[in-house]
Formats: sequence, structure tokens, C-alpha cells
Amino acid sequence: MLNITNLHARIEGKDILRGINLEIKSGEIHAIMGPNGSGKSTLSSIISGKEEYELTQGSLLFEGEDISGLSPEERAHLGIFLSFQYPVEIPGVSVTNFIRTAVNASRKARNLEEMSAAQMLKKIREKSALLGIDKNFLSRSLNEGFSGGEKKRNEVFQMSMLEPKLAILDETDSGLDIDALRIVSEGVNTLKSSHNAILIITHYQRLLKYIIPDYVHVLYQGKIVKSGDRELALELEKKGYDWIKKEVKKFQ
Amino acid sequence: MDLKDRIISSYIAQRETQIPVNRYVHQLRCMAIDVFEKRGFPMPNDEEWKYTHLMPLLKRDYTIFAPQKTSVERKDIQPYLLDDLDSFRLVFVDGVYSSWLSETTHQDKDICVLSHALSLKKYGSVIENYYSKLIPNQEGLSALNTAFSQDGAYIYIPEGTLVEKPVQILYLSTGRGADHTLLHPRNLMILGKGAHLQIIERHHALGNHSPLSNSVTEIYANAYSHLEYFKIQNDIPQASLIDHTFVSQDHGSQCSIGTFSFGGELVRNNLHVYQRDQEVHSHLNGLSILQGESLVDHHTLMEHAHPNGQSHEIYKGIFDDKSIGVFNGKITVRKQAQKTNAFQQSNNVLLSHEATINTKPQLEIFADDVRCSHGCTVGQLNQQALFYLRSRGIPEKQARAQLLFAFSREVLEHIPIPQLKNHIHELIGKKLNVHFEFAL
Ligand SMILES: Nc1ncnc2c1ncn2[C@@H]1O[C@H](COP(=O)(O)OP(=O)(O)OP(=O)(O)O)[C@@H](O)[C@H]1O
Ligand SMILES: [Mg+2]
Repeated sequence: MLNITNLHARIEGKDILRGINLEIKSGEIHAIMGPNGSGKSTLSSIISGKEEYELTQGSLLFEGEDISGLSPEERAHLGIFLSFQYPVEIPGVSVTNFIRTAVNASRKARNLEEMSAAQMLKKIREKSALLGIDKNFLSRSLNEGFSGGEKKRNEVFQMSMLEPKLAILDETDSGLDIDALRIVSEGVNTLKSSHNAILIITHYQRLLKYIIPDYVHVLYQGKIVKSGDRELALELEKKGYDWIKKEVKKFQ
Repeated sequence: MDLKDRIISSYIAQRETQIPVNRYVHQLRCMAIDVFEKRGFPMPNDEEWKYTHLMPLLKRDYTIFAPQKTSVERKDIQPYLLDDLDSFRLVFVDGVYSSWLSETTHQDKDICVLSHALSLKKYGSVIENYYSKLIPNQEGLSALNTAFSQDGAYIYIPEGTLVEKPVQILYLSTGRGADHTLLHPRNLMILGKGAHLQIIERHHALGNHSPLSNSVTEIYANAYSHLEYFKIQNDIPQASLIDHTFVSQDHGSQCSIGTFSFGGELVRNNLHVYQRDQEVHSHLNGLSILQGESLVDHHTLMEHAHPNGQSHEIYKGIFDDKSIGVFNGKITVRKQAQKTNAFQQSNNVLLSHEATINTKPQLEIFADDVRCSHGCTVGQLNQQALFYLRSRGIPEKQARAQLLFAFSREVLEHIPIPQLKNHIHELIGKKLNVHFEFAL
């Protein structure tokens, strides 16, 4: 589904990604871990089409198609979704109206009929119940004044409404309390099928207890320096990143 | 001969042919032309006109008196009236009242033509009490209007009367027989004690000429009256408007004035609200969405002269291309005006590197127990927010529009007439080049 080969990217003259290789097939769950500032959010923004970054080398394919020239909305229409590490507050745009616009924009781009208000409402009810979202919440301005956990829950709510093929969850677990973590993880798991894939970015093993990854990668200084299965996450939790950093140094 | 000289000589030449007026008005006009002769047009060195230059406009070859009476078809004016709104209508074509396009009343209140009131004896005492009383003594442009104005709206609402439907005032210019016309619309509105009135005003040019309208409106809001006044400024790119609106508010009255500026070459709004007694509320709102080389200048003067007055001003601006915005918001709180609560805010978004906004709050506070706050922001469209919306599949154009609409929202909340609200939403959609499928 997603094929990244030797991807290099820079911003303001600074190289951030320095040769990423990553292949995600449908049905898979990948997790990326790594120290602060190593480029995890940069990678997710680049997959979603943020235009500020300059891609200097490598390729970015989604379902076999080069998407590096596509706009963020075109990538969304193909089925790419990013749950932001820091969702922006957008005063004056309500959650409900926003999600209606977003869902219908994607349907329109895929030549599907717009969803009727009644259908939309039904779906909104269903998904918000699944994630334990209060309905008052839906009439509020997007993310405005939301608590950290509410913002993350709202991201997953949007994901469940949009039903993406590839969902990137950038630190969706940070800010969630213990119960919320379980509810949100269960929500994500119900969306999981053999037709879609998930890329989880996290610092902690606890999320991976609920959403079990097939692969775990370590991103460090703009490169994936180690890959393994879920055991790797456990090892990192125990030992931290020092041993990996040392390995990288030795290798250099 | 420059424009000013031509104006003065044509005044002398044409005075005889004007519609007869009462002695009081005749004297006012004579005095006014003297003031205009002395003051003329504002010059670029005038501090109040620092960012808004009239010179290029004044070089045009204006026809001083509008050509002979022209007529327009009902269908020509339809786009500029809210047709589905049950309303009184006052329509003027090239400065002349069009009775067949208008719908007036004299039953229990007067909603009619000003020239009528200026000439008929029965209105004499009202005119002598109110007409031209709020205009500053030595100001050239409003004096020019007093000297030349022919027609306009006259609205007199007696004590305790609620006007059951809004009044639409439409000033059209056809440009027939003249490429550049000078127009002097003039309105007088008097709200008796406890009266309630809603006004929608609009100036529009039909065709391709470039009119300059120098408009004056005087409003008296007597005790406990309530006025809601909306100005739609969405004229063609070569039409200009200089508007002077003077409001005098008596005890416990409420006035709210919303100005929606989406077009025109040069639009200057001089809005002067004077609180002449206690417990008065004034709301001034503005939304400008400009493109091309349009310029919109809001000069507001909010004058608190008595205790417990409140004022609330919000002006928002979105400027694209080479458009220019000016906001000069002056608040004066006189010594007696204790417990005044004055709020002023100007928020602006620049969408292009060539667009500009000049904002200047001016606070003159002579009372000690007051709350005054003002704030001004100038920014670009929030790129993070734009990416957020786009990454969820909303196309860029629509995402931008949605953010700009959200930015404008505060100003749009104060429109109590649903048809007007829809119309303004539509105009914004057109301006931003999107169709909003639902109320945002
Ligand atoms: N717009 C930008 N301008 C300059 N530097 C940037 C920009 N965006 C990211 N960077 C830099 O790129 C590096 C990687 O940042 P990124 O946000 O991708 O890290 P991360 O791995 O997600 O970290 P964290 O775990 O703290 O979320 C950092 O050093 C960051 O300062
Ligand atoms: Mg990050």
C-alpha cells in the first residue's frame, strides 16, 4: 500500500529525513518509535502532503502511484489520514459541519453521491458512541478549548468517519487517560481490516498492548535504524534508546 | 478649472432651477456652499485622509448635475434589493426619487422622500429642529452635500411606533449621459421615543461608468428607541462612495450599524456616533472582503458624553490582491461619562503580499472610572489550520473560504433579518468563490 524508498527531505536548509525506507502492506500495523526530534512527525506530514518540506531524493508511492506531487486533499481522497500530534484549534467551524464537509468532499472526489443529512447523522451517532464522545461536543468549534485527550479522541472520531485506507496516528495515545486509551484503541481496532493499514507513532509500549503491531521501527536522525516485531518495543521500553544510538555511532 | 471651481460655478448657475425649499433650508445651502468654497476637498496633507487619497478621483470630469430623469426597469434593480423581503422601499435613480419603484408610507409614520419634507410646510418644524444639525460646522464634504443634495430618504417614526417591516434604501446610478457622475444622497431619520426601525442601505452603479457618491445621513435616536442599520457596499470596481453617517443617541437608546464592504474603487465610511444621554448602547460592526485595487476606509468616532454608556465595535477585514484597508477608530470619553464601557477590535487577514491595512485606534479618555479596551490584529491565513482541513479532504479553495468565513463569523451574528443574512452569506460565498452548502 505504502512504499517509501530512500526518502530525503529538508526544510529551511536543514535535512530532516535522510533516507527512509518503509513498506506497509494492506492489513498490516506498523509502529514507529524514536527519540524526540528524530523526524517522526515530519515523516507523517510528508506522507499527508504538507507542502513546506522539500523532497530532495527518493520516492513516495501509495498503491503503486507516485503521490509526491499530489495536494493534501488529493491524498485524503485516495484514503490517507493523519491524526495530528497537535491538532489545531479552528474557532468558528463546528465539528459536525466540518466532518460533513470532509466526508462529502471525499465522496465527491470518488464520484460517490453525497451523504444525506440523515445518513450522516446516523453515522455520526454511531461513531461517536463507539468512541464515547458526548453529543454536545459535536456542536463545538473544532478543537477550540478541547482538552488534550478530547482533541485526540476527536481525531480518531474523524478517522472513523472517513474510513481511510492508511491511517497514521501520530502520538494519538499521549494525553489520553487510561480508560480513554482503551476506548480509543478499541475504536481503532474495530476499524482495522485486511483492506487497510495503520502506522502508529508512539513513545510508549502501552498503546501497543491494545493495538498490536506487526512491525516496530526505530527512527533516529531521519533514518529507520532498526526494525523488528513487537518484542522490539518491549526492549526499548526497558532499555531506552542509548544502545541504539551507540550501535548507530559504531556503524558510522 | 478644477472640480471645486466647477462645482461652485454650477451651483450659482443652477440654483434657480432647483426644487423649491423652505427658507431655512435655502439659508443652509447658501452657508454650506460658502463652507465648501473655504474648505474644499480634503487634501493629502490632511491627517484624517492620510491613507485615502481622493486626488485621482477628483481629476475626473464629473457631471455636476445628474442628467435628465432616467428610468430603469424593475428587473434591473432586482439584484440590489432583497426581493423576498416584505419591506418599505425608497429607490433613487441618478439622484432622483423613483416613485414607481418605491413603496412608501405616511400612515402613522413617514417613510418618504426628503425633498418632499424639505419643501412642504407641514414638515417645517421637524426640518428646522433636525435637518443639518449633526453635521460638523466646517467640514467641506458634508457641506457640499448640504448645498447640492436633492433627494434622499426621510424617515420619521413617532413615539412608541414599531415599524413592522424593514426599510430598503437603494441609490442607483445609470451613467446615462455621463461617464462620471457626482451624487449627493441625503437621508434624515428620526426615531421617536421607543420607536424601532430597521434599515438596509445600498448604493449601486448599473453599467460601466464611475460615479462618486458623497452621501450624508443624519439619525436621531430618541430615548429608548432601537435602530438597526445595515449598509451593503458591494459596488462595481470603478464606483466610489464617501459616506458620512451621524448618529445622535438619547437616553437608553440602542443603535447598531453594520457595514458590509465587498466592492467599489474607494469607499470611505465616516461614522460618528454621539451618546447624548445616559445608558446608551452603540454597536458598530464592519466586514470588508476586498480584492483587486479596492480601498475601504472606516473612520469611526464613538463619543461617550454621559454616564453608563456602552459601545462595542468589531471590524474585520480580509484583503487580497492589491486591496487596501484603513481602520481609524476613535473613542472619546468625556469627563461626565463615568462608568463608560467601550470596546473596540479590528482583526485583519492579508491574503496577498501586495494588500495593505492601516489601523489606528485613538482613545481620548477624560473620565476616570471607565472600561476601555481595544485590540488590533493583522495576520495571514493560518497555514496549520489550512493543512489540517485539507488533509481531511477539503479542497484548498473551500478550506480557505471556510477559515475566512469562520474569521468573519462574529460580525455576521448580529444580523436579525434572515433574508439579509442569507444575502450577505451569498455575497461572501461569491467573493470567496465558493458555494456554502449549509449555514456554517
Ligand atoms: N518547520 C520546521 N522548521 C524547522 N525545523 C523543523 C520544522 N519542522 C520540523 N523541524 C525539525 O525537524 C526535526 C524533526 O522534528 P519532528 O517533529 O519530525 O520530530 P518527532 O520525531 O516527531 O519528535 P517528537 O517525538 O518530539 O514529536 C526537529 O529537529 C524539528 O525541530
Ligand atoms: Mg512528533
